[in-house]
Amino acid sequence: MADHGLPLADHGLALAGLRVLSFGNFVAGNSFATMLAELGADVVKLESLQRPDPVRMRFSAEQKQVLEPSGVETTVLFGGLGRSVRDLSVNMKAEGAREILLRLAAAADVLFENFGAGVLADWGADWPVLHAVNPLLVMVSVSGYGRTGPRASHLAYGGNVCSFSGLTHLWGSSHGSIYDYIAGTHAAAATLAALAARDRTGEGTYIDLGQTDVAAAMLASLMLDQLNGGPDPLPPGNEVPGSWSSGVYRCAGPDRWVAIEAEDARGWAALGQLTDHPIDTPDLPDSSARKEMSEAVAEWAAKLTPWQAARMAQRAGVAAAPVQDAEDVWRDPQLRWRRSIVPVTHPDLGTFEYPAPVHRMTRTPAAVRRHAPRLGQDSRAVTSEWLGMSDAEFADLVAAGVLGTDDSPGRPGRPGQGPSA
Amino acid sequence: MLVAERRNGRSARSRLDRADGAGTGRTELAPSTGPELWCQSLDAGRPCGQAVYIDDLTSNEVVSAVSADPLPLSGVSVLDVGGPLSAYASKLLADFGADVLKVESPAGDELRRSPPWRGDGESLVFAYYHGNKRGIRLDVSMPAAEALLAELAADRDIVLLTPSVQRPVTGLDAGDGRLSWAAASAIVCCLTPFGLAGPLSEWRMTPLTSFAMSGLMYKMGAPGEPPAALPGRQAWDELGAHAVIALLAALRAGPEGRGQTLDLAVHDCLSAQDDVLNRYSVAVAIQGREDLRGYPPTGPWDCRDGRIEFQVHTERHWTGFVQMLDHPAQLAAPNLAQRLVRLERADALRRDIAVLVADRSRYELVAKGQAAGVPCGLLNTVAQFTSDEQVLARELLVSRPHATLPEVRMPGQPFASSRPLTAFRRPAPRLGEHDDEVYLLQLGHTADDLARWRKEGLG
Repeated sequence: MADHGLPLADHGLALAGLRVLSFGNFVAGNSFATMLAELGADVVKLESLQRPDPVRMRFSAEQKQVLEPSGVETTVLFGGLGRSVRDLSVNMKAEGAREILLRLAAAADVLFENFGAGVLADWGADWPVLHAVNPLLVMVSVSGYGRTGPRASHLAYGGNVCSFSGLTHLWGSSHGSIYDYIAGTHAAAATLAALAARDRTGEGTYIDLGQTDVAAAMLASLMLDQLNGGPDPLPPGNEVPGSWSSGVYRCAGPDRWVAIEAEDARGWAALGQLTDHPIDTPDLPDSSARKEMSEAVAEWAAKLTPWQAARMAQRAGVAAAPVQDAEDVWRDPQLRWRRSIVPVTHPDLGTFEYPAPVHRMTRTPAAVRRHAPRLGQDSRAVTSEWLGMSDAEFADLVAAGVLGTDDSPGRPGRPGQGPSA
Repeated sequence: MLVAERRNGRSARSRLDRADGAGTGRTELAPSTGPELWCQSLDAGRPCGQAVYIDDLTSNEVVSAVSADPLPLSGVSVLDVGGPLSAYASKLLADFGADVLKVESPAGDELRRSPPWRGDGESLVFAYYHGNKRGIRLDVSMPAAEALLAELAADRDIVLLTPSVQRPVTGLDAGDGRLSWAAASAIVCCLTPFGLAGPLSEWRMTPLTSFAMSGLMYKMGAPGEPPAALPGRQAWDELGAHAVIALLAALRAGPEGRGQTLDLAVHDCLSAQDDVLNRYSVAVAIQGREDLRGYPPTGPWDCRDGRIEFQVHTERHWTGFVQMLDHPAQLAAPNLAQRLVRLERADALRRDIAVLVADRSRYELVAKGQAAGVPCGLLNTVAQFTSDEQVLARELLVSRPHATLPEVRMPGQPFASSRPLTAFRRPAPRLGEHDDEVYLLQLGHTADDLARWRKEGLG
């Protein structure tokens, strides 16, 4: 087995010593795993040559195909989502795989999965079994609608979650991954809370996180009126409820825009001065006054670039920002100044730029620890370190097709389906 | 057994015996005359609400109430001197059991002025974000506040702040993130739009403008129309969840995690999402709003009783979709199973499919589609979501007591768990509700001091 990339040193990282098993795939599963890994946890991603993570597959045949030496495909998307974790190849359909999983679970602090409903139960490794094997284990399931209730078994992509929760209606657009990231983040927060509880009680917890559960929490400010006797809310467009003036305005240049929000009377006055169109209003402006201000801002912004408009509004004390496209984000002055974009070199993909870890901490900062793993790259190391497995047993399990390594012959890569939940 | 404890210097305790409900997985504590505690839990695989009532104590007196299983953050103390940007972080910490003291400016937190309101101008948004916290008044931008902040922070494990040009925090050195008045062992967590320093760190921002800069807004909305703002507060709240991760990781690290500053930026968090950078890295291409519709039937459709959304990507999905619609002749061509073929014929297909689903019930289509392996679901309004059988079955929405309103209905714990990880312990504080308790009883100041601070605009 080849060893690639940086050593997985964990000194100085907050979660050093924490062991996490992750069946996490797509966006939510990988973002959960990578977040904890970059805070120092030893996160072992479980996949198999027979069933690689779908984000290793291209969206379409037009994309350039990149293969690992085993023949398994990998992608730049996986290169970002999957970094800093270790990878163990285990074919859960092979005889003897369940025993390996239970041994790993006995040595782990956390197990994460975001399969379809019932997959772990089919393997004989659902929460009651795992809890019996390791009472200290914290287990996390992330799914579209949660693991209970009449829609528990429903297939859902990220867009379905966005639509079910009311966001598509309010936003006017369906989004494929917004609650994937937010679910991964909340799963990590809940996991760390459950670990804190475990440290006090000696008992692990099963966390059943539905993406629609998290969507409800995120959309609370838009739901509270209806929940408390108010009408079903209409899409607010680019108007922020409670703000005196807000909108997204066209600027000079093709498809260039600036977002501006005057939250209160002070901002309203500043905006009037800036656009040379002051409008006196004793209280929260009515729709007619807001429309008049919006037209004045639109006329003013149309002659400026987004950055000009944003900087002039900022100088006047009004919240404003250019609507950035992907290239703007890539050259964003603040992201570059904070080194929030980092190059990562992968032996098969080459070097690409990715977002840096979000968790900036002066003593225990999160860090990119390694490029995304090749499938099965760490099978030997993990089974040795976690299970004390001998070379002979490991070789037998590889020969039996239970375990795989990154030089095992894998399934040839082929274009996959768009990743989602 | 559940114990409710008052920590206002009198160490009174009230103990309540639990009476288990039979067969339903629901447990209630009797007697049931005080404020309600809610825990979500799973019992034998079924979600249930665990209603807990505290007798004898008024809502003002209940400072902490813990079940026989302590909450994850019981004993962890937090001082939140931030504005709306730290509200969700301290909400999660408080819900997980931390003792959170929220410091508001004398004029009150901005979220108190955020609609919707009920009663005498009570913000339901403030009620949602600030339950389980105590609240006091202090203008943390005034240098004169520094000594009081040092007293307030003396034994606090965590200090949350949201410094900005408009609302600076006295004693903070943005260069190195040090906070003069925080305890040496405290974890100081700064939540800002751009980070503590850098070329844009002094910009005034809101969730709308943060989302605009992230690269995410540019792709959303109809072609030719302005990019569409993400409604609500989630562009900022997500950073709150990240803050909780970093804080719990720092606490877990023990002494090595203490005495440090966390510098968390909304812009880092949002721009890291949705593959914006990766796609630009790989294809050097800019995705605009023209790319969103894709190949039918993926996307939203109008049925007779509301809207539905299909996500039909694989050949198996397509086969199921055709089966769901009882194999109509318009969709019979075998090559329509290929996405690229459907993309080429998108306009004609959209017309056909619109007719095929228009007279159907979306509930029936979802049931039939799911049975046929089609990822599909309801496209709901808020009222449709909040009354959906799934939302009700998982008890996602809860009713909470309020200081002046009868009760407020709101989203509860954003996940289910086999044992309670959160609990409701007190409603959001009235402005300055705990001034006396904290300044007089806890810190030993006098009523004259309080009156003087108010005159000076300090508290």
